[in-house]
Amino acid sequence: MSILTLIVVSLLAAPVLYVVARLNRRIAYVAYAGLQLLSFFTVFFSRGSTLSYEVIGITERLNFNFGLSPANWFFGSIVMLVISMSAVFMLPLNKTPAKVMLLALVSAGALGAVFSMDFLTLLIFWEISTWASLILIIQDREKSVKEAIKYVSIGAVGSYAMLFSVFYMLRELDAIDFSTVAVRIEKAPVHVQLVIFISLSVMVLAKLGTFPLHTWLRGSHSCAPDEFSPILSGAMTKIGAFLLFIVAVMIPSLKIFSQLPLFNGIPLANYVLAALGGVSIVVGTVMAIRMEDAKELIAFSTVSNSGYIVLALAIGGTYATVGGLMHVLNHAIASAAMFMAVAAVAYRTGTTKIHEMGGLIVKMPVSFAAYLVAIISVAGIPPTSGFVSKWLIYQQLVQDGLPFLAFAAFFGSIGSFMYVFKPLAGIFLGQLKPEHRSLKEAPLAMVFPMAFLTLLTVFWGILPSNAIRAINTVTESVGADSVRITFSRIIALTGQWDSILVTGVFAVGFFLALLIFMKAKRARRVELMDNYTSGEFIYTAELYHFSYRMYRPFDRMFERWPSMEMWLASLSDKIRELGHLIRAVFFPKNPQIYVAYALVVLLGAFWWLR
Amino acid sequence: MIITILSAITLLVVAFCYTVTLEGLARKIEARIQRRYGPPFWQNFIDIFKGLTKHSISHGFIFDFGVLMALGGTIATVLFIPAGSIVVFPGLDNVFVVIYLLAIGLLGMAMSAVGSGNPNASIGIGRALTQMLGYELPFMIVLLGVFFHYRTSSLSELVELQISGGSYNAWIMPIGAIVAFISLMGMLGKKPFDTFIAPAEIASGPLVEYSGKYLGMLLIQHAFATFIEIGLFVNLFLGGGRTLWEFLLKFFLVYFLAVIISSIMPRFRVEQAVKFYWKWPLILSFAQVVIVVFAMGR
Repeated sequence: MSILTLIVVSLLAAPVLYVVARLNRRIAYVAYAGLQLLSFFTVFFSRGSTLSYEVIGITERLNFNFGLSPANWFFGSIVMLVISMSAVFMLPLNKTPAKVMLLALVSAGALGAVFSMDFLTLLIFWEISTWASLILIIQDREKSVKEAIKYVSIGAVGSYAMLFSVFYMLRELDAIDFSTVAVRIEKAPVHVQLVIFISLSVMVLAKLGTFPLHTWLRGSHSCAPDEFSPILSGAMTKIGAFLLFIVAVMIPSLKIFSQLPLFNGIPLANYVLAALGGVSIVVGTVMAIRMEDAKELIAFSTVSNSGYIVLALAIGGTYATVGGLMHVLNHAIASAAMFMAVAAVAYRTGTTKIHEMGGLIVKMPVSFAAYLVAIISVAGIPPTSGFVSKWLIYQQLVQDGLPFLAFAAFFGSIGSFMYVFKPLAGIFLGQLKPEHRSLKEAPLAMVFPMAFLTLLTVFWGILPSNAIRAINTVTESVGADSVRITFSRIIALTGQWDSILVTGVFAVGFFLALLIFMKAKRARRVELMDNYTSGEFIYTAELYHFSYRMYRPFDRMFERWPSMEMWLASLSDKIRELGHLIRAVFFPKNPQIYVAYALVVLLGAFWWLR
Repeated sequence: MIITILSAITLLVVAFCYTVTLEGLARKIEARIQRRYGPPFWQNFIDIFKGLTKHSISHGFIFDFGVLMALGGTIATVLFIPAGSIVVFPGLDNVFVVIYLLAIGLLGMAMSAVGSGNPNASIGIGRALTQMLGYELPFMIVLLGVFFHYRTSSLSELVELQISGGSYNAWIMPIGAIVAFISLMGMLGKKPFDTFIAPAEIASGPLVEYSGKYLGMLLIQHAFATFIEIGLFVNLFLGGGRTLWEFLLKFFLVYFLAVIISSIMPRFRVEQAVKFYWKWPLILSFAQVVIVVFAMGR
């Protein structure tokens, strides 16, 4: 099946699924999941086929261009993997006809966007996906309308910037397809290059959720239906990474900006973009540490990891480009798995507040394992795939000697230990709440996708050369260098990473520890409440669980820092007040004054036209 | 292959015996500074073997698994530390690998401690992670300068380059070495940065629920972790050693400097510790790395 057929089928499936869902919701959802799995496998196994190029003409100058370059394949596979796994995951959750139609539209839009070969096609399909997701966000929770408005207004900033950029490109370069623009932009004057780079970067920042356009993530990720959050974080933001790849790597930004001032070999334009990525790493990390709601926490961790992707692809270079693309893959899988684990817990307990749960490991061990592996990957600990990408990005930072960007990268990496551990400790470890004693593990349809994503994370951690080889073809296809690899080793500038050896050594260490453990006397199993309490008697498990404001001392340090959300909120208050003032002055309650206005206007017009 | 296995076993035995002996000596020295008599220097061996043979209690699967992960991860990390002439994996002993592999052990310990269900342990882990964000940042920034200067992050290569260059990093980058030593104090949990243990306040924090073999295993883990952290500093800034004995001597000096400073210090609160690290050490580390990158060249 060609990609074009797939996109058309996905688009047409949306209304059909709505009608089917009116008749039988279960069948519609199963059909939706089947369609997504089919699209994923079609996309994934189309790798071997040669570069195809498909066009639908609209007018003489505007066409929809779809193609299957290695970059399209890479991003398409990631996006469809996350969407198809979420589609299976949502089978036990509550179903409505509207949701299934919107979900089908989201994936059709995403599919069209990642297989587009020109900026206008990308924008149009991206907007289909965005508007469908906008309506999806407000489906489940009451307060979400306000958050959806934030999402749409920040999204609009990006979309208008990109629309402007498309028309600007048409005027200045007379082309909007990626490859022609990449060639022609090199000869264009520097202001044209800068305008295109900046306006497309605004779209990237808005969609990836990077500082200063990151404020929508918290609300829309946490208010979205639980089954949609993995798609929003794992798939939708990654289309932003696709545009970033085009802007920073496919258009050789390091080369075309080389006349601008350089910082250690990085042009000013790229450095500013990378610095924004760095700021969003720090902001995302600090805010994630301070959150008390698991979904808000993961939303801010998305801000932080998007910062990594922006930083890596903006500074360019072999290791950072490959590392950045690897990070797209890792974060898509890990954040989807984290959101799924939280959704599974929320499905059983009905809450996402960390401190309202505790000790769920005994009740939901698979969800715990999925969450654990995902956070190990987010924190960048071997042997998971998260380590590899961070390691490659560090190699580039060391090679170029960029201490201030490295500070941000290190901050995000070490800070991630803090925020990922908070839900682990609060939700899964510690004392079990008495009202949760009769809980069961999530249903099989939820467990399977989580387990699959977990296995993928571990697989690419133990055998990263497999993923790096695929990424190397992506970077080679746009003329960038590739990282040297052997079966088990990645060879970089300042050292080598032998994943199989390290995993083996860890296994040996674990075995030695197990030997000591088994040889010693068997331990007596006691209850969690049978604890050292300084001689006090305790009876209430829920009071003996320390998770609310776990990092209070850290929190205190940042309480008085300026907050962008508060600044925007007070700005919107001011605008609302201005509106009230205008209404109070020009819209009085008395109808006679309206008549007077009308007379004055008519007389004025009459006098002017006489 | 056989040489690798033999040197791995030698390294583990040396690391265990030497660090545990030094920990015993440290207790003695600290006691003498505080005008006490102190336990014999082999007391820590007694503690560990006694612990391993006693009865113990367990709080469930994750309580056991976390301890295994902690000890396993730390044993694995020790093998990546070159000790003088003993280098188990030459060329593969990347500093990033050491730091992140050590994190497996820390994560296991954190999971196990919180899994015990005791709030004292959770408070301790919360503090430990917070403090980690404090001390790791200046340390990593200094490391960036070191790697940039030598174009490698392999520990054994860094040692060779320092020896063949005839000058240790502590002389080439004195500010960085001081910052790294201050970070090392936090890593080791020595006063004034021992807020996550704080025996009188949160009942030894993470260790509150451990008894018998669990405590014994965690004491072994602690000894190995100490070996890794000080070994990192010695290899990075004092040129490791040509022989094992040179390495062990430098190790001894660094460890006792830390112990002596620690025994006359009070305790920071955790946010004070973090604020301290983010003030002078961080500024100094940036100063050092700017000097390395922009003034010293490659």
